[in-house]
Amino acid sequence: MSRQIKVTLIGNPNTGKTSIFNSLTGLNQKIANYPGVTVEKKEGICKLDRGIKAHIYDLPGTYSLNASSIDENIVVELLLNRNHKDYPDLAIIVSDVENLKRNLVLFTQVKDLRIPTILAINMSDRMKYKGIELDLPYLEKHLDTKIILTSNRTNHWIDKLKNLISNYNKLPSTKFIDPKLIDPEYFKNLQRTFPKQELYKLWVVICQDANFSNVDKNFLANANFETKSISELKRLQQKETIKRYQLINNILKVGQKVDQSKAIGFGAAIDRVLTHKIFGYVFFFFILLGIFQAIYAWAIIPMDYIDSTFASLTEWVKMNLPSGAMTDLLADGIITGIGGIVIFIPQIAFLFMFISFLEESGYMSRVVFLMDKIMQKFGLSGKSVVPLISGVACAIPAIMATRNIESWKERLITILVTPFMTCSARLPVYLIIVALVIPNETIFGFNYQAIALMSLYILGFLAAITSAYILNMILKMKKRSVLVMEMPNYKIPLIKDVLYTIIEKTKSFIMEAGKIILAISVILWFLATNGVGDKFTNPENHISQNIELLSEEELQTKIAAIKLENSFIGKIGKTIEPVFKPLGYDWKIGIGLITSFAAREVFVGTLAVIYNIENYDDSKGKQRELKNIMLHETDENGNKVFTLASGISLLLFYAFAMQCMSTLAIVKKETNSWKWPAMQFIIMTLIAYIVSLITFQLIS
Amino acid sequence: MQTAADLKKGEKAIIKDVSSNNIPIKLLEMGCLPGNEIEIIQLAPLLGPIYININGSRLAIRKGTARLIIIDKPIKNE
Amino acid sequence: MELNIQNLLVVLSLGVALVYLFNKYNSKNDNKNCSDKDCGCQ
Repeated sequence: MSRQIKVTLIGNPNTGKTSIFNSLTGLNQKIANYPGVTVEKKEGICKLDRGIKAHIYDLPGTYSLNASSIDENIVVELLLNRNHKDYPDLAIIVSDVENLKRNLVLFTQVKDLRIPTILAINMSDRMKYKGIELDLPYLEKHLDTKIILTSNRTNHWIDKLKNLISNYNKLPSTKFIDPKLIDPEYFKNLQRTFPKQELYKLWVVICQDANFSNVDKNFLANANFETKSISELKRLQQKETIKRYQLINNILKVGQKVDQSKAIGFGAAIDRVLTHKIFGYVFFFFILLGIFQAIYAWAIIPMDYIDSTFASLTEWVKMNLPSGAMTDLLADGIITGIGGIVIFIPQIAFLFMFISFLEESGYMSRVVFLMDKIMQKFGLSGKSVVPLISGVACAIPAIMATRNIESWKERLITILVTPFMTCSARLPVYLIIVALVIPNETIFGFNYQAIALMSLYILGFLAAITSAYILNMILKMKKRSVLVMEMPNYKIPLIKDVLYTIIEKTKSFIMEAGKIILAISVILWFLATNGVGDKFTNPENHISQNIELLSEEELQTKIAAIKLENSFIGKIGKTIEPVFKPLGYDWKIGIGLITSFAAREVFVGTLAVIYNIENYDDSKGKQRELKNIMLHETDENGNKVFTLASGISLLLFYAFAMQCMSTLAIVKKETNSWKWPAMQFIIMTLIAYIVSLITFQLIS
Repeated sequence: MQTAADLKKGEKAIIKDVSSNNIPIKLLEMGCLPGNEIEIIQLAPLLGPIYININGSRLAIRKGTARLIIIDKPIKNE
Repeated sequence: MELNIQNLLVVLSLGVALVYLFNKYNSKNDNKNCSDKDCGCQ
């Protein structure tokens, strides 16, 4: 009979919790939500002996049960809610051996919630380098728990840990602190008013910050309990912390011996360089440059491969499956749609690999330290750097990464401006338009096209910080400006852990954005291949030229063009054409702009379909064909459609417009309201429209 | 009354008290308690964050927060 | 449109896509039972 138990891994950030999670679960992991710096719900399976199956949950890092950000709040809400479907049977508090004293604050708090707990002391391989000795039996006795030394450099502890987990119901569950010691009068009163509740747990609920938490505190008002003011509560919280540290210090005085003279470490020396007021910034700049350079150089190879594979797949489907509507949907809608997503994986994966390295090594915290003041001038936090950089891959995980920003205003502004950063999806659009309208010549050894591309990236960044600046002035909200950022010890990340991170983030990107893009691709395909009216059903009757004079291929092409123009989407495109004419776009480009709302990269594929290429594939030959066609495309007056003016106008439109529905969905989720994504959509698109309008009118 | 914001790079001091109302509880949880030692490791330019070592925990805090940490006279490095 | 398997599948796919998007942009809430011994329960 298989029994299932739920185990949560809790601990301070940077303790290597995720490494332990990976060791216990292997690849049996799944992510329930979009990835950010830490994922909301990372769940894995670990098979123990006697047929017990353990569901292991890796939670965001937190320093205590007093949450100061949304990230941390996830942990607290879970631990307080017995009805939560992931409420743990066992909590493993992961501590790092060099900060044991501080880690024990969280440990003792969780214990006081009467949840069975084990203490895992991680990075134990560093003990001898730091001159640390631990008396484990003493600690086990006085902390009243079972302790296990773990490390990501060894494996022997895994079985022992699994054994401890399966025996979770044998764990002692005594309290660490009696809350009445904190403030006898208040707590005695509290217990008297709510005799059936667990006192410490009650206290934690009362302390929950309304800014982050959804915990229901109505029962307090109902019971007629004299609630304390916020500052009084704060004082009590401080008393609790002091009391805990007193008890912890007493235990560690005996249980832990640290010989500083034995400690070896280069961290301090490295910090002197990396946080230097000049060199620190120089180093960061070169790191950024190196990352972007590497991504472009490395990602091209797999991208080309993916491109041709999907093109072949499309062809194969068309040739081998019975012909009909569904086969066409499969080939032109579904496979093409999926291909459009998959092709970004190399770029996104590489970017996340670099970000993961920067974070796991500890360097990212130093970046936050260097950038915080500058960011603050724009209404952002130093912690906004990670979302902004991630935004160059994709805005969706970037927005989720804002969860560790303490100040709501800074977090909101970060969420709102991140989509301005030039994401991977804009790249295919940029590349083709730049190739089309920007001359392939050099000036002072720099290629115009390369300069144009670089400028677009810089433009995205400037747009982001400028809007942040403006938002900072406009938005009137309580500004709680706090930054407490731990600077973890430098460490070399394990390849295994970085790999797991990349796999899990990529999987989620495909799942989340992928599903939305797929759904919209299906709908768009349907709208493009169906229509009403005679022109749609009998296109041959509407060809102006003499049919006999056309070759078979030319005839088919003309028929396809007429059908498209009169399909549902064609009708929509022609209807909105007047809106886009002042920007220099014709109705075909207009359709491309609409389909881009599914995903920006869909624009190129849409144009391919519209410009009459049946099986658009990106291999060298056909791409030149699309470019050639676009180059010669003229409107009814014989003027070229893609000129310098309309080209730049289009580039700027894509730079500023909010076109990605998946992003809007995430913004709604993270800000918990429709107001913000709606505002983002309207304002960004308006800016795009105005800028493109002015540009086109000026240049032409 | 001297606060941590007055310390220069490399200086150490013992924490005397914390300005209770505004200090984030997280700071106390990290070890910012009366009697513990605070050391300034690095100062970011333009009055940016301060990189400190409190009781073994290395953190970055903003200048405004540092003003809430009241200290005794700095310890001179001999 | 004729009534054949292919067209049927297309309409089905369309339906799935629309339903999926509709659900995505609407949140759902579950109801749970909390005892009065459990503060923090929701």
